[in-house]
Order: sequence, then C-alpha cells, then structure tokens
Amino acid sequence: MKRKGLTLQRKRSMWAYIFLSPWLLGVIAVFAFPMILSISFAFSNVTVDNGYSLSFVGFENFRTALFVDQNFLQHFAATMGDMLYNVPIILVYSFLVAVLLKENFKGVTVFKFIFFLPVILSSDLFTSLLNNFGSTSSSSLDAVMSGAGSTGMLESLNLSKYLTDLGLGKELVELLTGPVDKVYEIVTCSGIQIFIFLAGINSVPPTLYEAAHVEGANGWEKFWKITFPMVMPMILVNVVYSIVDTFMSKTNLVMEYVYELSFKNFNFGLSSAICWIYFVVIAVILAIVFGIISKRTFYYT
Amino acid sequence: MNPIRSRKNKQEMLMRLGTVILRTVLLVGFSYIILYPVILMFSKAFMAQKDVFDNSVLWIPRHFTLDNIKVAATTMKYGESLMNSVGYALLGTVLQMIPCLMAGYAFARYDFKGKGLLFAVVVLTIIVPPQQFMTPLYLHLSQFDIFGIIKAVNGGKALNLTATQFPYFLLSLTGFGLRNGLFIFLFRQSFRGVPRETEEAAMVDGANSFRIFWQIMLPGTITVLVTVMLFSFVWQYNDTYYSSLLLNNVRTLPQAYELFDSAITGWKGDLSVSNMLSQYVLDDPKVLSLLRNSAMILIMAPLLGVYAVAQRYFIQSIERSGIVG
Repeated sequence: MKRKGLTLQRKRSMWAYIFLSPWLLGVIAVFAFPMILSISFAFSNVTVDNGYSLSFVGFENFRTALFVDQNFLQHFAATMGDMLYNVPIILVYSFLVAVLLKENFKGVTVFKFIFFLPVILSSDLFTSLLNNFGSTSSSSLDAVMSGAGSTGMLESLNLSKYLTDLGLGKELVELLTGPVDKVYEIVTCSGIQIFIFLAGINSVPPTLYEAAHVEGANGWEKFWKITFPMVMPMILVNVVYSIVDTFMSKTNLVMEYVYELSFKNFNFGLSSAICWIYFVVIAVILAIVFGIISKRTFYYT
Repeated sequence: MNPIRSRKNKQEMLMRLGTVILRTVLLVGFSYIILYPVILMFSKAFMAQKDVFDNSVLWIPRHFTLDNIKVAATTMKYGESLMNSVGYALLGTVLQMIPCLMAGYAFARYDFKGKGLLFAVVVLTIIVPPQQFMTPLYLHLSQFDIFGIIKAVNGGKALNLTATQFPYFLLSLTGFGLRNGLFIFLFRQSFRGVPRETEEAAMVDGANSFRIFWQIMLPGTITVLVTVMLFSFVWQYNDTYYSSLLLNNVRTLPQAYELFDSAITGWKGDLSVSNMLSQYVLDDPKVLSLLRNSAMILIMAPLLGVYAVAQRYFIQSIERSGIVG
C-alpha cells in the first residue's frame, strides 16, 4: 500500500515548526539580525547622523575597551566582585529563610507576603529613590570620614564611625561594615530564590524524614543527609538565576556604562565591543558554575 | 510520672521555645529591612512640609496632608500615565504569552531537526544582556527597510519606526519582550509535566495538534501560565529600559516620574503647576524626598493593591507550580 501524504514523524516535525514560527520569526528579525549588526558595530567606527554608517576598524574597539578606556575594566571588576560577594550570601540567606518559612506556624502567611514583596517592588525607580536616602557604602563612608552627616538608611554609619574613631584603616572598616551595608541589597534580590528553595523543601517526600526518625536521626542529621541533598537541584537553579540576575541588571555598573556610551556619547562601536566581552565572560562563568554544581547534584528521581 | 521522661520533655520544650524565639527574631528582623522603605514611603507621602523641619517628627506625620499626593498626581498626569502603563503592560503580557506558550510546547513535546540548537538559542536569549541586541535593533528600526523594497516604494526614504509602537508589538508577538526567554523555558518545563497519556488519547480520537494544545496542554499548565503572566505584568509595569526605547512617545509611569523629578528639581515657574509647587521649598532635599515619595506611592499603589488581593494565589502557585522542576 502506498503511503498517503507525510509520515507521522514528518507531520509532527512540521507541527513543531508551526508552533515555533512566531518565535523563529523573532529569532531572525529581532535577535539574529541585530546580533550580527552588533558584531559588525564592534569591529567598526559607527557614525550616527540620520541613519548610521560603518567604517571597519578591526580590533580597535576591543583594544580601546581593554587597554585605553579607564572606566570599563574598573566597572567590570566591580561588577564581578559584587557577583562573587553577593551570590553566596544570597544563597545562604534565601535557604535560611526558606527553612524558617517551611514550618507551619501562626503568621507564616504574613511573613511569606513580606518576603515576596521585593519582587513586586523590583522597580528601578523605587531603587533609585532609595539611593537618594542612602548611598553606596564607600561614599557614605567618605561622608563619615569627612565629618559630613548623611541620611543613610540601614547603614552602618555609627558602626563605621566608631571603627574609624578606633583608628582602623578605611579599607578594613569597609571590609567589616560591607555586609551590613549590603543587607538591604541582599534581602531585596532574594525574593524569587526563597520561593524556589521553599518549593524544593516542600517537595521532599515526608517518608524520608519518617524513616530517618525511626533510625534515630536528629534534626541536624536530617538536614544535612536529607534536606540538603534533596534541594541540591534547586541550588543549581538558584545559583544560575542569581548570577544571571546580577549580570543582567540594568543597574550594574557595566550595563549603566554601556547605556551611557550608546545613548549619551553615541559611541556604538565601543559599547558593542564591551557588550561582547562581557557576554563571553558571563557565558564562560555560567558554563563553569553549571559544570561544577551539576556534577555534584543528586537527582532523586 | 517517670522523672527521666519528664526531664526529657522539659528539655524538648526548652529546645522548641528556643527555636521559636530564634525564628521570630530572624524573620521579624529581615521583614523590617524589607518593609523599612515602604513604611518610609507611606510616612513621607502624607507628611506636611512643616513636619520635615520639625526635628521631633520622625515617622508619624504631625500634620497629615494630601497635598503632596495631589501635586504629584497633577504633575505626572497620573490618570493618563497609569492607564498607559497598565494598558501596555497588560497588552504586552497577553501578546507575549502566545509565542512563548507555543514555543514552550514545541520544545517540550516534539522532536524535530535542529531542536538542540534552537533550544540553545533560547538559553542564549536568557543570558544575552538586552542592551546587546536592543541598541542595534533600535538603530535598525530608525531606518527600517526590507531588501530595499520600502525605499523603492517610499521614494528613497527608509521608514523610521522608532516613533511608533510597532517595535513594541513586534517584540511581544515574537517572544522577545522582557525576559521572554525565561518564560519559554518555564513553559517547556511545565508542559513536560503534563501526562502523555491524555495527549495520546486525544490524538487517537482524531484531535489535531492545535486542538490538543488548546484543550489539553493549556488547561494542564494553567497555574504556571497565571504565575508567568503575573511576573510578566509586574516586570513590565516596573521596567524602565524597554519602555524608554520602545514606548518613548507614550507617557508611562516611569516617564511621568522622570518628568515630575525634573519639574521639581529644576522648577522654573511653569504656570500650570506653579500654584501647587510654589508652596514647597524646592531647594531642600528633605522636601524633595517628600514629593518623590508621594510620586512613588502613586506608582506603586496599584501593584501593591493587586498583590495584597492576589498574594495567596501568587505565592501558592509559585510554591506548587513545579516552576522550578
């Protein structure tokens, strides 16, 4: 018998492309094309008049970014430093809060309401308003040093003043008070992570705890031998999410600098080159982190 | 009673009490940090100007006033800006769901050539900073042309689409709006969790793929859909980057806030607001912060209201939706 029309396999893959078609159009029109344009910007001198015109300059922009421009490497190092410092603290903090919120006590819904609030208030405007009260740790410290008062919120002003008066160096004071100043930042960017952990903890089968209880395990052992390994996949998700979140944030120094270069100085060549360097570094970091953690991750199913 | 047993009970009770105290202290402490700016916002927004200069007033306004809010609302043209913000965020949310759901379904359930590669592209769209493709896209749209056709029709001139809302709809409808890569990923995860048997049964009964998608897969993933829609709405409502590029001729709330801010910091006697603004000492940073907080409360109030009403659903759906699996 002759087959009529397409095989099931072919039909299925045709349907797949139909379902993908709007997105595929986007990949070509909105993503691939501008990405290619962005590469050609990175290797060109872009002049913007009515439209834009390109003249090829080779690796000039990359050279400028890495060796001539004084701001990029500094911003880049600061962003990386922030990431290395913040991500572990975010993870520990959100895991701790998730463990606390796991219990079914009176008022737990109120706390859940509050701890998810930062996600709702994740507005750049709101953040910028806060920065009008407080300021970054170093500048408020400078304010203390110079004797000027500041209206810093939730900051360790008194503490750093005290430590400075004790005669400690500025660097040491900053190192000690740094985590205190960062508390607000950490707490507000952990909203989603808390709930990812909470979901993970809630999905641990209770039979495991019962079995451990029968065997005579205490809470400490249960935590390290059951909860922690069972939540390992969530740790992977959260690490990746936190890193991406930090890097993509419009308020991180590199992204602010890129925005300034493009839309204030109209130096599209340099800003594209910086974007590409930045992107490659993110990709490498994510690949390494993913490799390290997923090897150690235990999947129950 | 057995004395050993009772001692053990006592010990256990003390332990439990310790845990409760520790837990409460930690949770209340962290909650305070989160709530501090919100409380401050409410306190400042309703505080009369003279309270700012009164050192004995810290949190609770001595002279309660609605003037700040009124000034902020008028200067920001609040009604119109709010409608624009809510309207575009809602429209964007609904439009974005179409390509994201469809792509998520294709990745979850179909085998086709280039699947691995295309999924890698999804991951790529998540980790590429929006700035990287938005800037060239913006420049491209400022002189839009398809293989010279438009130039030929339009008398040698390329179209400038940046002044229209077209790019916004284009990005939403093709699944490249704010964080849409993440949404595709989440939908794929949740579609994978829908049991295959129902789908196969429907196929045997002769339902075509669209019908399966519409009548079986969609209802199966409704919790995740609602969660993603809420996120999408909140993120777009709060966003300043996409809207500054794509909706720059529409007065959304962030833009209205910028206008308001420049109006109060560089006030040069604009007559339309002069009567109201002239009563403020605009040189003083504390007075400026009163006004800024009032504007911010106007921007945040709708979201806070919706969240307060829908929070139970919002939180539960995230906890249970398998959004993380």
